[in-house]
Amino acid sequence: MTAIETIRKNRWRYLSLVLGFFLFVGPFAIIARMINTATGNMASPTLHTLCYRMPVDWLFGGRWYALIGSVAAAFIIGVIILAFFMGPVFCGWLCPVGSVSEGVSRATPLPDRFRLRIRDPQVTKGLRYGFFAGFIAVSVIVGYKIASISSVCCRYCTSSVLQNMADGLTGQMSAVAYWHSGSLVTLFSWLVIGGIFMSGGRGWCLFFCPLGVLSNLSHTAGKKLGLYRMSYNADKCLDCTHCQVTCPTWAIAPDKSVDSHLCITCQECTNSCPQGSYEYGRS
Amino acid sequence: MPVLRGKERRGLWAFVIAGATTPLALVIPASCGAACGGCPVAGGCFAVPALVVGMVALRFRLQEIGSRILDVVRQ
Repeated sequence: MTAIETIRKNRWRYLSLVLGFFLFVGPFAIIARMINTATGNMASPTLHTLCYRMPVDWLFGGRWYALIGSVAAAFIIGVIILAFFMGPVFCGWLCPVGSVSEGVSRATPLPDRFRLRIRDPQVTKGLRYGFFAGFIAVSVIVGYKIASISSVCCRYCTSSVLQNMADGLTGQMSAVAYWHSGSLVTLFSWLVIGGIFMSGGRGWCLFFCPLGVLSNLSHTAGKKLGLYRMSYNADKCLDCTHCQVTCPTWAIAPDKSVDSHLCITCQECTNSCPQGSYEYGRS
Repeated sequence: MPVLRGKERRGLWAFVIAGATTPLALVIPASCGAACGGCPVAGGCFAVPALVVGMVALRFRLQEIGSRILDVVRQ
């Protein structure tokens, strides 16, 4: 499939991802702006208002009381509930962090042989949950003061990096002071390793996003109850492997089944399959 | 005791290596301040996520290549 054809077939998702940038990233941050206006909060709305990571860090670090009344916690719970019923549509259709790395990956003319793609979803899943277990371990170490280190949750935050990049581009000089080694590591892991050098550009989402992991766990539970998910019909399949090549999260196994622990319901497989083997719906 | 099949064992192995590496990747550079030059790890933390994913990919790629060679030899 040519690039133009891919864009045409997935135009609604790409438009939605562009919309996601304006909905969540400051200075636009339309959703955070609406929440701040409704709650009388005078702070400037940014992506940080709806942080993906801090509530997870609080929960496992023994600061669960911070979740009460937190807009970010309510947002995360909303995304997880949505994933339970509809699949991780936030990840696939709205998340600005994922859309930027996916966009960078697609826009970089690097041959596929130089990009990493793990073909076995079991291995990808193992790495994903392993890194998540590590994230929890660090939250526990920091939260319960087992070692005297400062919190690393915000130090490796792609949302912060993206927000400060947007701030810098819109002329806010405070963004210049933000950059430190942690943010540079994050930028490099997110856009270079996870974006350009991983097929599909969703490396950060796959391995380091705690909200992505929680969304997919919720989606897997919902799938078991027969709620919305991607399903595969082997009878129609011609074994052309277009679906495996286009899937940005490597969720399609060698037998072409869709792994709900990795799928973000982006429907690239549905749109790339010439036979219509993939469908999004309830069983 | 449950017996793990090959692909489950691969997944478990990936889980263990990632789970064991993440705290190191997060904790080691946590107090290094603004300059990688001042840290004994000397910016090595940049390479940790890539190394972990790369090691796992390489391990299974080598296994795949090895089994293909064995298939050819057997034929």
